[in-house]
Amino acid sequence: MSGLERSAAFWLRAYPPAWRAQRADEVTAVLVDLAPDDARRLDARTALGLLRGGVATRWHRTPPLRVYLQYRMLDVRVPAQYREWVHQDITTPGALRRNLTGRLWVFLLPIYSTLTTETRGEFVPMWSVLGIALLATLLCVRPGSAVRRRLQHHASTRPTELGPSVWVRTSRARVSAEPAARVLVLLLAVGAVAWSAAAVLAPTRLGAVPCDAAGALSCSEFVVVARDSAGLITAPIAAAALTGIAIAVAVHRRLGRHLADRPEQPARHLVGPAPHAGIGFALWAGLVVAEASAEATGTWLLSLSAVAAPACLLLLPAAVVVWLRSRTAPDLALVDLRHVAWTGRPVPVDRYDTELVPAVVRERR
Amino acid sequence: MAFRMSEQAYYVLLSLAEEPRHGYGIVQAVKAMSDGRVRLGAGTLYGILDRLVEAGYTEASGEIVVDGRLRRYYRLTPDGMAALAAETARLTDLASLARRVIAARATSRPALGPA
Repeated sequence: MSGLERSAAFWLRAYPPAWRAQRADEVTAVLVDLAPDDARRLDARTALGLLRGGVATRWHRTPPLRVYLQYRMLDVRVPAQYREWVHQDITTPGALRRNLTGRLWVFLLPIYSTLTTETRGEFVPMWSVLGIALLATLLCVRPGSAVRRRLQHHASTRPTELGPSVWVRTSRARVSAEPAARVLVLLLAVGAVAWSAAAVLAPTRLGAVPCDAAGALSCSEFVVVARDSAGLITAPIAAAALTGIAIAVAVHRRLGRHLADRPEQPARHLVGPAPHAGIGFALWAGLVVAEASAEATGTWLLSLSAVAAPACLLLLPAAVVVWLRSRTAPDLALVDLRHVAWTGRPVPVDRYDTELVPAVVRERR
Repeated sequence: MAFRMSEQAYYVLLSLAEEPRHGYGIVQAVKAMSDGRVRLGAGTLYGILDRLVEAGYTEASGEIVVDGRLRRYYRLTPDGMAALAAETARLTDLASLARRVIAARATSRPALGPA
């Protein structure tokens, strides 16, 4: 690379990366043609022109504040002229941080409450649980898949070219049934045992008492009171367990009816769980046990376990059936089992997925 | 967004109306058409080309590599030709109006007499 080309590359940095990827070679050739034969760097007028053009291009391709805020805070699709900007925003380093920062407004009220109260220490467990839950969820998500879905939502274009990249048809990635169903069974089992125990053992509950000694019905307030009987909660837990078994029998029949003659899936390939999903699931299990322990020991009053225990017991038997079935058919995806179990209809054939790749890659393909 | 037809953009369209050209070819053609009065820098040229491509007035028509340098050619689209014709008609009308005003001023007597 000559000194003139290095100088051109330096000043072309004023333009957005996507623009440079598309035009840098071409513009450099023009700059070299326009420069005097003995020039070793761009003259001031040319450099200033590139600087001005680069800033104007960046300004033109960056969405205005209203569009930016709608995209960042509510995930609203931006107009077509900003799709390249969105592409850069989603695929360049720091995308996850920017995405999460944009969603912080959801927590504005709790953050305000935390910052304005004098007993901030009481909020530490809540924020810790939220942080761990967020981390656990992020670890369970396959990064490439999340980026692809966001690009499909925000940057899908017709025609298929998007700056120096192009949308191509690709095989659809589906999570393999067996490992996913196994994790599901484990999580539901942990939830069922921990929350059922907590629901039975929890020593305190929320109760309404009159505001004044006279016991006027027009005024009451909620206070933490001692549990007088566990019978009210054990009955729904037992009912949920029995209903869960009935659901599992129905799911077993559906799977037996529709999985025997399932169609070929030419547009699909199976993948395992996300690379760090094991840590994510372990964190979720830890959160469940911690929350259930807090209720069982009276640190927190009876709340989540009253709902979560029946829910887990309702789903656990069906999940076990799904897991046992997945062990006999390694070519199944979790989505197949979920579809048949939930709808009672045959497995549909997957359509091809789409993916945004550099245009050079498509030419090689 | 409506396309703002500057004089430089008009010259670029005019140069592409003759034949498809690459960036350096456009600069040379504009310089020749304007008798050296309009000299496009690379920043200005590609700002105009970006706007023209976005408006659908021009499109890339191919690229070749000469002496290791990429030459991307641009050509006028039917929309670009229509925009060029419309702008030319507007300039023609403007010139006709200007000629009439100047001719009328030359033949009319001054209302207030000599200063």
